Amino acid sequence: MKIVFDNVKFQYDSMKRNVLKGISFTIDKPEWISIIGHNGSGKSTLAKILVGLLSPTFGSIYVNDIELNEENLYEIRKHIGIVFQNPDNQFVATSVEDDIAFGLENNLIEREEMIKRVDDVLNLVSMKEFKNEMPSNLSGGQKQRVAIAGILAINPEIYILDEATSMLDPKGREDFLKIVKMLKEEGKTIIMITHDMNEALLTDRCIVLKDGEIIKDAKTIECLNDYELLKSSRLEMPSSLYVYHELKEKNYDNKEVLNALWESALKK
Amino acid sequence: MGISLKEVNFSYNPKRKGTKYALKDINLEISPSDEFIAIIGETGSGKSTLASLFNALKIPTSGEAYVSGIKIKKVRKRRENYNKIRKHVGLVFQMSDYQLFEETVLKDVMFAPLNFKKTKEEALKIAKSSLELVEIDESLFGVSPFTLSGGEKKLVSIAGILAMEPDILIFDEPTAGIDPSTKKKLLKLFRSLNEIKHKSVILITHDMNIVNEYAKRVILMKDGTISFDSSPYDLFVNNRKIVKDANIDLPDSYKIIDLLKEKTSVRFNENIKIKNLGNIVEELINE
Amino acid sequence: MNNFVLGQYVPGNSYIYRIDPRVKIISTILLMISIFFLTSIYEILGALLLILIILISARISIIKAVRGLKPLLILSIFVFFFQIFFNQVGQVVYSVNLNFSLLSIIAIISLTVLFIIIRKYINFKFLLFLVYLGSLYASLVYIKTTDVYYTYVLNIFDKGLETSSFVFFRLVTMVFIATLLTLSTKPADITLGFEYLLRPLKIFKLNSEEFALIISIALRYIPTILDEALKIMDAQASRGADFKGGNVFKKIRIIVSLLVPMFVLSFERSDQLADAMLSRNYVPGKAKTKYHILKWKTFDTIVLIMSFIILGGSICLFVL
Repeated sequence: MKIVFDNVKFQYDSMKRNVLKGISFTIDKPEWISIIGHNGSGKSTLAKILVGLLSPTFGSIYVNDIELNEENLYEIRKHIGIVFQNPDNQFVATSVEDDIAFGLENNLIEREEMIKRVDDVLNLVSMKEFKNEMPSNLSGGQKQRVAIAGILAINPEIYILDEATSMLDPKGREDFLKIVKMLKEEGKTIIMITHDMNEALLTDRCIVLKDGEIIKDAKTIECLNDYELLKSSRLEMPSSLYVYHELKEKNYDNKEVLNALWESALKK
Repeated sequence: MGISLKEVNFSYNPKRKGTKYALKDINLEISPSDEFIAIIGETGSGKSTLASLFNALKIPTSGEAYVSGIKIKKVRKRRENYNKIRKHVGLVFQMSDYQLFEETVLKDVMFAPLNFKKTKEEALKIAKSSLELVEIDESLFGVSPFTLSGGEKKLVSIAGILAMEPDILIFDEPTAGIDPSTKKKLLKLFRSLNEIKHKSVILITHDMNIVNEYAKRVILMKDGTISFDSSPYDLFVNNRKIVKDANIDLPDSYKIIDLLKEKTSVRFNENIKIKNLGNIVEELINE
Repeated sequence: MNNFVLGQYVPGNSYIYRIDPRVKIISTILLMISIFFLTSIYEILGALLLILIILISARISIIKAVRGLKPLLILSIFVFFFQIFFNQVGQVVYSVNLNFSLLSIIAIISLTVLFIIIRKYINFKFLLFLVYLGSLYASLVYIKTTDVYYTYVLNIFDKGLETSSFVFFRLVTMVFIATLLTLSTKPADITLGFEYLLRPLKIFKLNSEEFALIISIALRYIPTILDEALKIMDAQASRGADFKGGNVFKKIRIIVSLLVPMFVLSFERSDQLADAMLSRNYVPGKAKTKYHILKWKTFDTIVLIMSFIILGGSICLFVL
């Protein structure tokens, strides 16, 4: 699946300022991409445009060379799934299985197939024993796992995670990222919007947003190792790279230490 | 006199048979000045319940709890008694949206002092100095709190608690979902409240980097009991097994020390307290 | 609170759980209508017995069913005494003098105070209430000092007693019928049942699927919103807000301090929820496939026919 953003601009009606000021990028192969940027840099607006919840005020989006518009939106949403930040505000149904079925029902999947898929994805996210549970009895991490299961059931090619782990505790986050890594193995495209730099370090490619513009789109390690770039866009460096960078600055020359730090950043 | 808990148990449904206790056999002393405590533990371990107990939002099911010498118990004249406690202990909730409701930022910060029987003039003065303390610009005093950014809302909600002039300040997950620049501001504020104003600061947090760098004392909750109560250094250096069992993360700096220990021949002197990444850099260079 | 709002569904697997929710809803309505056709206390007691047999055979705990009565208990007791006092028709079956004297009034007041105090520390509130009523009665009847101000002759008539028991037991039976439905059916299934039953209303442009979705979202968010309200109250209380005392002006301010955050959070929530639903390809009014379907079984037909027979029977009793 190929996605092309061509000079996309966006402004909310009430504000004069452009939230996005001409965004262009291409995704044409399965990749794990992180989009990073400070609060208000336009990250989440970009995510909403990607799934057609907002339409650009200027510019176009092409999915498989077809321009995204109101008519084909419904078709295209079958290929793009999104998990939002707040676990509580995206759980629609009164039980886990019903919530997963919600998207399947909307996509007109046959009932027998639906029942099978609900069971399958519950296994994948290790939530089988919670099948009939009410959302109020689940933790935030469990709710997010249900949210991603609901998208897994549709089996799209592209997964967008809009700060999906930011409201979870470390355990919940770890469990959630395990599922994301599994998706990556399966060759899905994952677009992860995050302000956790250690999480961004997991990805292959990184798009840095600042005040509605892309200021860098490169290999993750290149973006996250650029101290000036991160500082100017009010972002922190991942911890191992920070130590690496500081040591180099101060002409520290123990190759063993420097290599170990660099390797650990790459290995993630 | 601070906070003093003796054999405190707490259950949400004390009358139900076989009820599960959210807090079990808690013994704790917290001084009213100069403490910097981090309360850590998994979700559901009882951290937040413990904090709401300090604020008399919960009453112990059994055992004795005193705040500034006042016993926390069910009383008829709720407000008078509980407010005596709440004057000493300020609690900042994780969601700023739970707190903000007035038309302007300034009025919102004045809400607490007015409830504590201050005059309008006094309240105004306290509110202004509290907002100054959290570095909210005067141009924002008259705007509606709902037009603020997430970070500004957080700062205003903290000012709302500072205006009560408590000795002990509790912050529930203050840095969750907060952007790095506001986070820095917050941490600076906590430190100055602790070191300059000699307040006792209690953080409930999952962020072990903050625990390691800022806290002087760390209380680890597990299944409703206190399973560890000592310094962060003691926890992260001497008690790795406890860290592992409680399912908590290590601070980034200790992760790097472990990495270097494993991959290189560099060894850190265990007697030196590593508080942040900067310390590691210094140690490596001085070596 | 959660249990009250979300119905008192108790998981189980007896025959009553296997009845189609549509049939359960219709039967509940039919049985309730039947009750209105019963005219004598004996018929009502018969109906109550029938319901109890159903409850027991369906292995539903009677205690849980009685708990369903709780909210209506005071009302039914009030109705009971109201009828006894004011329905003065027929033969006097019991007559008693109620003496109002200084001593008996003091006794009443001290009993009331005692009741209010003890109430806080005791679990069996209803039992205590009955004991309280009994001791009030005793103090009026048996304290006969010389300074009686006023004597009220309480005549209990047979018709009055009958009507009051009739009204009381009718109410109890009705509540039992309703609890039978809520105890044995998940809220989600009740919603689904209504969705099917309301389908014919399509000709009036009412989309029963949308309607059911709205109900189910409301059910899903009630616990979340309640939880949020409690936290907001805590947050304001910790700033010295008092939700119990204060004058009217202060009270209004405190309520505002609760409502504003709740509105703000609810708007935010509905915004995010709408986004989440749209991104999962929800299109209002568009046909969907169904994960849950209801299948009519022979047993359902039997239950429905039996309900109609009961209704028919009670109409016959009424007419004859």
